[in-house]
Amino acid sequence: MSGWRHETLGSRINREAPVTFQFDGNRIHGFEGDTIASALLAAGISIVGRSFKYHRPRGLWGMGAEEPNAIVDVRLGEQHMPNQRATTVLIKPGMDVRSVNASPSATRDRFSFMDRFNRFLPAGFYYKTFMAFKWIWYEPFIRRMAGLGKVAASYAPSGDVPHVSASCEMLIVGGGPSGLSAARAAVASGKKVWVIDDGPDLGGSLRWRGGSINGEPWQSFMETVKSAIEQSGGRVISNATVWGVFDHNMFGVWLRKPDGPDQGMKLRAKDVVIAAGAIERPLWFANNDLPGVMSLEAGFYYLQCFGVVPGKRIVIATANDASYASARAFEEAGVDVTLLDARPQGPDQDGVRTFKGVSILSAEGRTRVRNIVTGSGAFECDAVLCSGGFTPSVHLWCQAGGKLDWDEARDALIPHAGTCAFHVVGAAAGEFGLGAALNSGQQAFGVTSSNKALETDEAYSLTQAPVRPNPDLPGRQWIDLQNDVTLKDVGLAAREGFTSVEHLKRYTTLGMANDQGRTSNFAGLAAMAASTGRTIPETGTTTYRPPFEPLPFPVIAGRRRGELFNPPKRLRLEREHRLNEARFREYGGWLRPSVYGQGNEGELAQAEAKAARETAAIFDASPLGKLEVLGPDAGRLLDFASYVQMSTLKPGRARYGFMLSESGVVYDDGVVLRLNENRFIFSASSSHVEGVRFRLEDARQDRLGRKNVCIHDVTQGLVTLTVTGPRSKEVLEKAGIDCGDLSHMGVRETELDGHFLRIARISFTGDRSYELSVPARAGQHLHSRLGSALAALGGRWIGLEAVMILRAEKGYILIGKDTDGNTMPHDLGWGGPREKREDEYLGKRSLFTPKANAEDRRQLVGLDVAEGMSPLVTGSHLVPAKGPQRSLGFVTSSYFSPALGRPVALAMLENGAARVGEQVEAFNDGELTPVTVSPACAFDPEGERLNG
Amino acid sequence: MDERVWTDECLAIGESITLGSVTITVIELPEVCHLITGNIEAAFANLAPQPPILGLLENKANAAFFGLRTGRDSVLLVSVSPNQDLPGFKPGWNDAGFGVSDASDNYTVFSVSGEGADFILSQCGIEDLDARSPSASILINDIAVLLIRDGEAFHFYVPSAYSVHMTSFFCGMAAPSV
Repeated sequence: MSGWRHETLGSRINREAPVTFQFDGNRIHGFEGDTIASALLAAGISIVGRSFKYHRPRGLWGMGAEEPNAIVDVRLGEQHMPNQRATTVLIKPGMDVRSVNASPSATRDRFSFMDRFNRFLPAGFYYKTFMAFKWIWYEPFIRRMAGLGKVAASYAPSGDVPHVSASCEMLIVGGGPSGLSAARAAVASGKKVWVIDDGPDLGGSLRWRGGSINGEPWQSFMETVKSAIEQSGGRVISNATVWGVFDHNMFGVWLRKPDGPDQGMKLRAKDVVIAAGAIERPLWFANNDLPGVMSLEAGFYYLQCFGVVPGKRIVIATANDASYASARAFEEAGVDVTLLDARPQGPDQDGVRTFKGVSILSAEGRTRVRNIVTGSGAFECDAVLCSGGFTPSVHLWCQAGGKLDWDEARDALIPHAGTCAFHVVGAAAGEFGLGAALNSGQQAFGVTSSNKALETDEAYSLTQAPVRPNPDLPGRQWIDLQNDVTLKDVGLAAREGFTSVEHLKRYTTLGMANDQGRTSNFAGLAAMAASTGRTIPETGTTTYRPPFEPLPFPVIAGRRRGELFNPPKRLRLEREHRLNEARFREYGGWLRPSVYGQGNEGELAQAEAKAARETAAIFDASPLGKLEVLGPDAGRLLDFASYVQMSTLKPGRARYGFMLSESGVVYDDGVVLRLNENRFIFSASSSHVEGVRFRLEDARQDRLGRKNVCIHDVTQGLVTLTVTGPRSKEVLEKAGIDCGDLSHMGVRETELDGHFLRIARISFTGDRSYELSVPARAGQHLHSRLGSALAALGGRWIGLEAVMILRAEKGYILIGKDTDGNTMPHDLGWGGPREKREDEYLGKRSLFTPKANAEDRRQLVGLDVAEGMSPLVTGSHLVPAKGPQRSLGFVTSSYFSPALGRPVALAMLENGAARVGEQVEAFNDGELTPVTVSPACAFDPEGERLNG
Repeated sequence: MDERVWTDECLAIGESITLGSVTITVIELPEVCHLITGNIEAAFANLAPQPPILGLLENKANAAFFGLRTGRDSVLLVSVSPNQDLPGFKPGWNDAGFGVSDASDNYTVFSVSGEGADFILSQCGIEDLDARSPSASILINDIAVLLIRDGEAFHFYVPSAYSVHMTSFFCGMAAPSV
């Protein structure tokens, strides 16, 4: 191709601002406003990429998202944008652009020899070829060859793409003539309209086709409509793509921001008008993929918007009237134009050399088109601009569930009115030509007296003669440029029985990849219809799914990743813990200290657990749920919601219990504190607070009624520090906190420096422990006071890793870790309430099913290993020591106990209670470790330290 | 996920961040908050003046004493100088049919003000500022936040354990183009 820049044309470029960038290592000059494609075309670059399968040289075809060939890898500073369409990316100084699927460059691709083997690589060859040997033999080679572009391992797009939500009364997708006309009518009928267009400004095809509306230049019309939209409270958004339709009229919109991060928008619209235009179809002849063969409409667009002319000697091949205006424009720009109209009849026009009833049979040239052959002879040329008609852009309509009708007169599939709540206007509805588009937009809302009908002086009404691929022509006719699918491939698929369009797509890859078959689907469909003797509507279409065009992952992901994705709750005392060298991890939805200090985490946890058993330790227990249950019916509510009866609890006392699901499975465990006759605190697990609250609220609202009981979650308003260990009481005394003679499971409320303080003698470690809760604002003070006392006694702050060791030594379970979705309370040794309670409680009936009564239920046990052995691996399966191996259960928790000087482990074991003392084996990674089943509690089984 | 490097902190009380023309400040809470559930009419019967109960995006209009509805029979009562002797402020169950809990430290309040503040809200997933709901509660990043107006400003009552997250979320937002 011999592309060049016209001296005066080019409405989108700023000739005062030259921009230099690199393409495949060569410096290319363009202007501000140029796309990569327009700059390459102006620079005379004909080969912009290599085809996917045969590595054939490919040039620019289109002007937007439909571009199948010009796929490039773009780097700009730290940014890396793989697989971009050169037609949609604006050039910037210093940009490094490389063609994909070519090595080392598109011009000198070392894999170009692949094309010589094309007869051995027809559609579906991989389904037949790669069956001979094991896939693993082919895989490395195929993986290297497959795909377009490469993502650098270091590629980490920034997470600064904001997602915004918005709503509007009426959304018009597309700001071309029909969109503007529809907007004008909608505003006149009092609607607030949002118009979204993917171009840099409104106008659509008017920007290159031009035209006058109501006797004025189209720009005046556009400005008037734009101003009316904004004055009525609407918005005009350009450089934005509506990429998907979702339930309840929710639209995904990608807003491109040249000077900042893009934006993702979730837009909800009450009424919707689709004015998305149409996409030009190619023509089919031998070697129609040669660089230099491109869309006529795209050529016209590059000429008017960028002043770029694709050649000096251009052949225009067409079968519709719209091409005549384009031909005139090229002629006026100083190009030697030859127009070939496949129709015997067509408009007459002066100045352009025109041949009627002439079609191209083949294009010739090695790396770009040199001449074309027709039935009337050969023509020398350096560019061929084709127009095979137009395909309405019905993607959004179909995504919303709309159906299509085949319109013989328009030679296109158009929206079937009434199958979707949207209006479709203009070329998207098959209304081709400016006059038809304007009327179509206007008629969507009716013509009002204040809103007169639009008139245009456009001479043509677009009629297009059907053009189809001709199987009788020799040579390869390319149906899908991006996926290297030829007309013969479609015929082969039909012969092999892949006659459904969905099968055709998968067998040949027609319509796949990032252009999604915008220029190829129609031809594929028509060819399949011809091969099978069916009509196009009988052959059907493939499914349209979002996104409309490829969009960057950051636009989908937005900012919600890393820390902002599923954020953990944060402790009020996090800063204080960090000052104590705490290292944080996520536990149960909270970021909590795992250990304190520098060094090996496992060793630190051991040292902390040891200190907790020998002197005293403190850990932050603030995440433990604190649900206040208030009212005369509080006891009744808790009795229903808990497996263990709570109404019999005396004020000032606490009781451990479970909450079950309806299936009788343990949902949560925790301690209930009774502060007075009508006030309980339900202490849920950190990760179950919201769930427990909802279950309590369910029971309150649906069973007991709301009048005499209520539930308040006050977890996040309190700081709770737990002092544990044999010298824990001394810590409190030294800190000046009077806990009285509180016995195990006792509770008292008092004050500390003017703030409320609740002390509960509850233990999750098996040692004497005090949970101290204060209002969060007093947490820092409590932390400081206890910390000083702890240091004076030689104790230490401990993290959750040490707490895990301590509770496992004692056989205390963690719901979800030591239990699973089958565990019932009697599996944990808590059969008493099941046998004794006669009243109703949540999950009760499920506890008496045959499955619940089965003898082979998995039950909580401890495991001992031989002296000197390492701790078991958590998750190891337990298998019989003798006989056939099958899983009897699994290890749920396993640690080395510094207090006992040996490993301890908890497990769920089939009929475990009856197996205490028996030998089983733990299986992990092919290794068997003999273990002895023991009671779950390995430390202080008599509870002397706990109760003492 | 590498939570070990998440050392960001919540804004201190009175501290602000600026996003173009918008200022986001953590408000010092002179107020005391109480969760009240049950017979709200009875709970408010002894209070004078009667506090307004605000739903989503409703304006507290400088009221020093107001409720934010959190459920059909639940209110977060915010007051500047509560009389603890009045039943509406006494934690526990009241025989008139309502329960009270101190929730003064349950929330961190972020005030978003300035031209283009609605753009900040749109980044929180709020698409319609004219939307109303009897409940002031709305999910922002899956967190139940109470959202009301105070004149031109928007007040976000964020559960305190998420105040660090909300700070980071606000900090990284795009500024409005005014």
